[in-house]
Parts: sequence; C-alpha cells; structure tokens
Amino acid sequence: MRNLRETGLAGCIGEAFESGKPLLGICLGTQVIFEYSEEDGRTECLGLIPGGVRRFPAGIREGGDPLKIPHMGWNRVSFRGAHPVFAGLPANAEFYFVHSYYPAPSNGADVAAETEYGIRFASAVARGNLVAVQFHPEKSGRFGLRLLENFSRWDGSHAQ
Amino acid sequence: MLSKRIIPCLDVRDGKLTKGVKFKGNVDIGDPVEAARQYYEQGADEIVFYDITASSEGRDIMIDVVKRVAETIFIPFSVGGGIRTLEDMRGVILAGAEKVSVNSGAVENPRIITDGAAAFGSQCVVLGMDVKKVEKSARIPSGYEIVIQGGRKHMGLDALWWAREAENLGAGEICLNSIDADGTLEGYELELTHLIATRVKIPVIASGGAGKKEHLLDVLTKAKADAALIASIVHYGTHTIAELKEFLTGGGVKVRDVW
Repeated sequence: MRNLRETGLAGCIGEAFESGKPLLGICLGTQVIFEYSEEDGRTECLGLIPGGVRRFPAGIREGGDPLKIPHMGWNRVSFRGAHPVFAGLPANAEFYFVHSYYPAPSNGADVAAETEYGIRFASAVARGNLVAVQFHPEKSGRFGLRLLENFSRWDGSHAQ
Repeated sequence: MLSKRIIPCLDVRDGKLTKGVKFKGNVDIGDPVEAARQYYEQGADEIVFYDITASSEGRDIMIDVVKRVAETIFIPFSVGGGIRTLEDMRGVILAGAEKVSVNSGAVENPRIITDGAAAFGSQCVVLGMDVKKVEKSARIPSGYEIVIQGGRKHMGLDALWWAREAENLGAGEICLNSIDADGTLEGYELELTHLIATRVKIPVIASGGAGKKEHLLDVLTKAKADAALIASIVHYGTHTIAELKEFLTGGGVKVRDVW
C-alpha cells in the first residue's frame, strides 16, 4: 500500500474506478481494493469495496486433516449469477491460488464467486466496472485465459 | 476443496531434455518447451524444470528456455538446479518462472531462503531436499539425512530439522526427494514423506519412485503429500496424466479433472 501511495498509483486506481473504466484485480490486486487488511496488524487499503481482508484462521481442517497456509494450488470457484467477465467458464473449472489472506466483503451483493478452503470465502468480487479475483487467471490454464479474454472485451457495464 | 497436484519433472542440460519424453504415437521430444506444452495441454497442474547444466553459457541458454516456457504455458512452473545466489533466483523469476527451487545452495548458505523470500515472497521459494535413510543417531534423530551431489555427500543434517528450519527461514514449499526411492519405480518413500508432510505447515511435494499409478495414490493419501512429482511414469508413456488423475479420482483423491 505504501508503494501504491508513494508512486501515486493509489489515486490512479481510485480515479479509474470512479470513471467507469473496466478494472481487474488479481490476488494482492484484489486485496488492496478493500477498506483494510489484517496483514501487518491492520493495513488501510483503497476502500473501493466495503469490507476487509482476513487471515485464514489457524486450525482449519478438511476431512479431518489440518489445512496448510498459504492456500496454494488449484481449487474450484463457484461463480454466482452471470457476469460478462466470467462467461463461458464451466461450473467445475479450477483456478490456481496462492494466498494466506482472503477477501471478506461486507456486502453480500459484491460476492461474485466463492471457494472452499476450510471456510467458504469470496474468491471473486464484482461491483460496477470492477472485477477482482483472488486466484491467478494468468496461471490457470485455458479457463484463466478465457477470463482474461472476457475482461479484455468488456466495456465495464454489467450485462444483467 | 484444494486439489492434490500432479507435477511432471523435466531434466534439462544445455537447453535440451536429458532424457527424451515420449508421447502417445511414439513422438519423441527433446525440446523442453515442447514437452512442457504437451504436459500443459494434457493436464499437468504445474511443471518442475531441473537444470543440470554445469557451464555458465548453458545457464544463459536455460534462461532463454524459461522465457519461452513462460510464453507457452499458463500454469505455474518452477526452476531449480545450481541456484546459489539471489541474482540466480532473480534471473529465473524475471524470465517468467513462478517459483525457484534451492537445494544444496540453501544447505551451504541458508540465508538464500530468507533473502529470496524477502525479495520475491515465500511462495516463490521452494526448498528442494535430497534425503537418504540412515541409522538413527543423536545427530540424525529422524533417521533421515540431507545429502547433496546426488547422494554422494552426507551433510550431517537431520531432514526433519532442516525442513522445519527452512520453513522458519521463509521457504514456501518443500520438494522432498528420496535418493533411496529415486529411479527405482517402486514407489515413493512413504514413511519419509509422511514424517515431513505432517510436521511442517507448508505444502510438501513428494518426489522419487513413482512407477505405478498406485504409488501416487499411496503418497497422496497415506503419506499426506500435497503434490506428487512424476517423471518416468509419464516420460516413457506408461500413463498419461489424464489416466493418473482418473485413477486418483476413483481412489477418492480430489484432483483437477477439467482443463
């Protein structure tokens, strides 16, 4: 966040969001759009979407086995509703994740997709001209490329 | 739910695969970029490149290979072999690798783990460990010792201690290779894998010994590995990655089954 502020990029991102330009957040680029993150105590973020970024709780389990943090590897992403950026992605598509903190939007309407890793968390959020994903579409094979292609063609309006 | 990862390993020397990789239809491929493309298309979840080049000219060739791989496949891949300095790590990461793996370089200078994690993030730093079974002793209480130079040189380090130390230093993942099992095709070293995988909090990739699909099932279930490294079993065309994944799914293991 300090880098974003010092370089003036924090302002640029805010202006782009306000102007209606299509914006895509990836991984840390998704975390910075919230109001705050639990990383390094409490870090104030850009606040484009209400909510915070939380650390996976210690002791999360799946099928009796303790889960490792970071959440690293391929996991399923259940998209909610239709969105032009997520068009054509099958329900059982998996995407590549690597993160220890997860997005927790205050407003359920901002949740665009969910993923299970001991807990159920928002793996994608969408609001107006902003789409942000916790996973890495650039490392997620064909479906990740499809998402990027969809984004590159998107005018920032919601088709619904 | 997170999928267990299936990771083909490609050995490269002077920019070429050291062993040919055979694909269906008996096509033999000696180009690491083309082999990576085939495995990417066939459902590999990640790819590991191990560079066994000795010369510095060969190193430059490897950087070129990494760049071409990054333009060709869209899944994570790591590069290891002869990484000794932060500059070595930087070269590989700037060329487009997701992760860089350090092995004997980290045994000789553990600070490279800390420095690498600080510079690029823990998720980029994989600790490669070559391990041999030995008599339990005060020095090696787990009965597994770290070796280098393909097992020729014993380092007097306990494998479990080193795995935990590397985790504390900032390694994001461990690639655990059993020198005893490596190349045998008789199965992974399950006891060693279970020991390390259940005692560290970072993911563990099991390596060495995969010859049958049952071996993958065992290491991912009984031994609790997070991922399985494979070589001959796919390189020689014994199985495709899709066949391995289908078998694992049947065995109750969650894997990425559409790509």
